[in-house]
Amino acid sequence: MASKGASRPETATDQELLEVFLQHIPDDIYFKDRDSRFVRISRALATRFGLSDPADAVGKSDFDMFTAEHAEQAFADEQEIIRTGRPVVAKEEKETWPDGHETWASTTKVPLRDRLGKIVGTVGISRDVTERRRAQHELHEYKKHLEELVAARTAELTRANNALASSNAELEKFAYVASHDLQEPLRMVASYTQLLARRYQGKLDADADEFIAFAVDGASRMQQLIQDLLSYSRLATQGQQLELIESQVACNTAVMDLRLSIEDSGAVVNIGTLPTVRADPAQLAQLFLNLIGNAIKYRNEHTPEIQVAARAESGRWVFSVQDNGIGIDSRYHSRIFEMFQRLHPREKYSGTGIGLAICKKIVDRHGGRIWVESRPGHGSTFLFTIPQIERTAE
Amino acid sequence: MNSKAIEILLVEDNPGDARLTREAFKDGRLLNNLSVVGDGVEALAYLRQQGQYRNSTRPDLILLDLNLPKKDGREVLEEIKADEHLKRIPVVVLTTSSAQEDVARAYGSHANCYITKPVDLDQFLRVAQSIESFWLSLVKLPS
Repeated sequence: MASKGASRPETATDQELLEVFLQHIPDDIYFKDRDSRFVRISRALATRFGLSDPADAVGKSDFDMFTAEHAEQAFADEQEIIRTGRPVVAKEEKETWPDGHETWASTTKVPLRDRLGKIVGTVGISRDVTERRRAQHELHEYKKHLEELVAARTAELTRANNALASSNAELEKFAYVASHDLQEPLRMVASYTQLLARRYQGKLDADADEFIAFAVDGASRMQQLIQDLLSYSRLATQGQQLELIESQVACNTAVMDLRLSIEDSGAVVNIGTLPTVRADPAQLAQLFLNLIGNAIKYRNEHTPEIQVAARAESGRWVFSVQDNGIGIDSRYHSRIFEMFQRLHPREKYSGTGIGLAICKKIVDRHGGRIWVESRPGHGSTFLFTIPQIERTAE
Repeated sequence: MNSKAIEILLVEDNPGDARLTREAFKDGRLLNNLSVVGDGVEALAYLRQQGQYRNSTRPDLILLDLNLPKKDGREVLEEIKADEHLKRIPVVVLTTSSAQEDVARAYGSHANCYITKPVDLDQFLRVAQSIESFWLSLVKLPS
């Protein structure tokens, strides 16, 4: 039965309690004299020393039990305690045993005083922490290894990224040089086939007229392709610095450039309030030009109605160009932004399939995203984002 | 060839372009005589009646391409305009380059006008007609 408060079992004396303590606590417990010779040790320590009786350790010292290195350190610590009266608390120390195996112990040692308070030796307790240290060490090694892995992987990714960036830059340069240099011989082909057509149309025979017509058409389409390719590659090589501009102005520029096709189609273009953004003015105007131009081009039998708007949404502007045209099947919603992708036969809608690729590249360069929301027969809304201008402290 | 034919010197290294220009001026309203040289060194020899060009006729108009072998059109232009005997001949720079620095440098060297060759044939023919009607019939040049 538990009684109220802590009370010792009636039979147990201090001596008996100490005996239990020394016999059964699995830590190394030791009392030493002023010369660091053992006075009493716990059974656990005796077992470690290979002694069957703890009493056999009396009069011996660490020098008899450990390597000199450890014994000297322990001796120095104990002499310091005796000299100063200051304990050593939870010191982690390596113990090298005579058979060479090493353990780690967390050691606390205090001065041992007689009744008058005079220091007559030391008393200490050492707990084996080899396992914990090993686990800690393993954890540390593992962490180090992980860090090395992450570092290596990061370096690899950086390398791959740099390689990709430089190969992209090379590709862009190639596209630019190729399209630029191809223009010259192509101009010859186009000019002379056109000259042939002018001079000899109707003077040879029907076959010749047809052949010439195909040659003229092919050359002029190739010229258009190369022009488009050139303007695509110029986006990266000859882009201007991004600056604070009114997107409204860029949009108006695009509408001005489109006035002929707007008049021809009778299109109605409504432009909402558009924000100030950080952008390349020429490229933003081209972006609006391509999107509004497409909205007019891919019209159905109705008069094109086009709505340009912008709304703020979590740190970015979402611009939209909405039309009431033929719409696009959702299957093609991502493909249309790739280079040279066309959904319609040339006879129906002309073009090289580069306009939206240019749009995507422009939006990419401005740190935004472009996509389309559309259903066939229900018009299309092209949306793109541009980050909002960071507000500076006033 | 009528002695009153207008003399044009075309400095152009691309035979295709040279022929195209020749064709364009062949359709012209004015009787003209187009001579073609293929590089800058020959152009200056022609103008100074040196070597094989001892008997060349002083042109009324020079059509000058910029990118030429041996001596390029920019240098040819500078030499013409620095030459007391040649500097009054109108020089029309006719080139594929639309680079701003080329335009600026050409006018800086006193080119009389700068034209970027149009890619389209019809436009090219119109340009040739414009050159003819402006430089060879509209403007009054020193005789």
